Amino acid sequence: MFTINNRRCAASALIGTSLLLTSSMVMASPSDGPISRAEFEKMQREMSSLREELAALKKADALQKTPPSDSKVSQGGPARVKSSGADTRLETPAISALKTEIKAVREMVEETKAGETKFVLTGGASSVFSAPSHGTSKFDAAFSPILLWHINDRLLFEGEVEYELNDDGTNSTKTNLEYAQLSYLLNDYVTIGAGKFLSPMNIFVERYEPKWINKLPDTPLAIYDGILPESHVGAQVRGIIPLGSARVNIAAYVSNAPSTDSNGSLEFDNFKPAASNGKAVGGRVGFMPCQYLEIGYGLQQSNVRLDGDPSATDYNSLLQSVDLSTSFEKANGRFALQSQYAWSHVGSKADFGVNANRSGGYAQVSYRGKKWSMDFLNHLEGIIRVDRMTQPDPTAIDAFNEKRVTFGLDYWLTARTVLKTAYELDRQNNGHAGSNSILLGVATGF
Amino acid sequence: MKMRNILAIFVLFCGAPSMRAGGNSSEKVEGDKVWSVACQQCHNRPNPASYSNAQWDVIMHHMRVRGNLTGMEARAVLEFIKDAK
Repeated sequence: MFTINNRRCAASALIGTSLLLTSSMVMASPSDGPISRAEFEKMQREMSSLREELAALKKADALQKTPPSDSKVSQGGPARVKSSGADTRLETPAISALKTEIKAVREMVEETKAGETKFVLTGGASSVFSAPSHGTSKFDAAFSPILLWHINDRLLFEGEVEYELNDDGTNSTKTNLEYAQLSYLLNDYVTIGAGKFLSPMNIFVERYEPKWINKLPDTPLAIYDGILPESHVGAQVRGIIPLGSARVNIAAYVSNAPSTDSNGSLEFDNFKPAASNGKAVGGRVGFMPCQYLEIGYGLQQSNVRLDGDPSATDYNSLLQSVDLSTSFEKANGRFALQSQYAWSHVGSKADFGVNANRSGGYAQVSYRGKKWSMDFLNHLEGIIRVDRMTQPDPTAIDAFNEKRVTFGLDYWLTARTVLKTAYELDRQNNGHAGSNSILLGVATGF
Repeated sequence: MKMRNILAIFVLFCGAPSMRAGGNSSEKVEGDKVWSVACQQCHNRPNPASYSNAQWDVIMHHMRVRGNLTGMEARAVLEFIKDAK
């Protein structure tokens, strides 16, 4: 291949030869006869011009052989020639395009590369259609983005905001700060945290409440939106004590105390200082004799006040909860059992006119196919849940006791996207008509 | 006095597992077993390829706090996930 470099070498040789020939002509001219002074000066000018041209070409050639000052790939401009000993290559358009592409990829990596901190946006979304036998059927939807901010290997911020539809006729959207907690890993076993966090004493909200984890379209009575708190504003410490193949999970917290209404029912939106000046102390101990089974006990004690009561009378409140959960593989699938029972005591009969003791809980058994030859069966999960809620004196406080049995069948589209169907039998007392419901839902975690 | 008792319990609680950690440091935690058993106590296991390695770093930090995993368990699961991708 006749390259640009070769051309320049040839040009140099040609000019040199011209100079030699011109010189020889000058030297040889006397033998052919004398030349005039004008001719001699013209020849001198031509030789001078050729010398300058030759020097310029040599300079250009020397520059071309000088290696680049750094290893960066040069971009733009005309194709450059690189020479390395006998290996002389021409940078083709394809190589130039490749270098441009590499530069673009490098820039893209630099733009997306995390710094010292790392963010992840995760969460879930769900939609439910409910058709009660007594009442109006309706669609509902919710969206719960979770922001995880890994500040360093010990510090983590996690926050979740839930957007729900208001069912109060305002056609508006409701926003709830589910949690916003900064936690610090003290060592391999102990974590401390502060902020608004999910209640450590209520295992359902900590582990099973997310819509794509909860196997049924609705939540159990008493445990969620019932007599136990779902979150706290305060600080917590939690840890694990290994005991050979067993372990003990411990969590303890101090938070703003809840307030109470005139029926001794606790209000857990405990970030209203005017309603509750006290603090709640609580926690949970979970014992795991093996990896598949956990038995837990949670409690919370606090002094509570009537919401907005100027006399600021304190009433003692004690919440307790026991739970048992297990999950194991058997019969070509996975069985799971979740159960929790809670009871509360607030004040005395003299304070509220009734013994403000409430109780309730649920037990849920599920089976999902895993190893059936017919793949369709491996996407199905069957669920049965029994739950109940008991009020202290339904007649006195215009409330009702409630019992439900729910049969569910889920179809898992992916590991975190599920179609839910359920039929719920509902029984209530104190003149309230229980309403059986068809529930259909879809939920996804991302 | 009450505050002192609370502080003493806190120190014991935080210190005891640390001492225990020294005794167990040679024990190898198998990430695939933790991944298979602990995760499925609450939810289905996601595909390791669902997230990038950097995202898994953050998610495992979150799950370590939420799911009561020890540091060793969380690191073992993380290593398993990255190998499995």
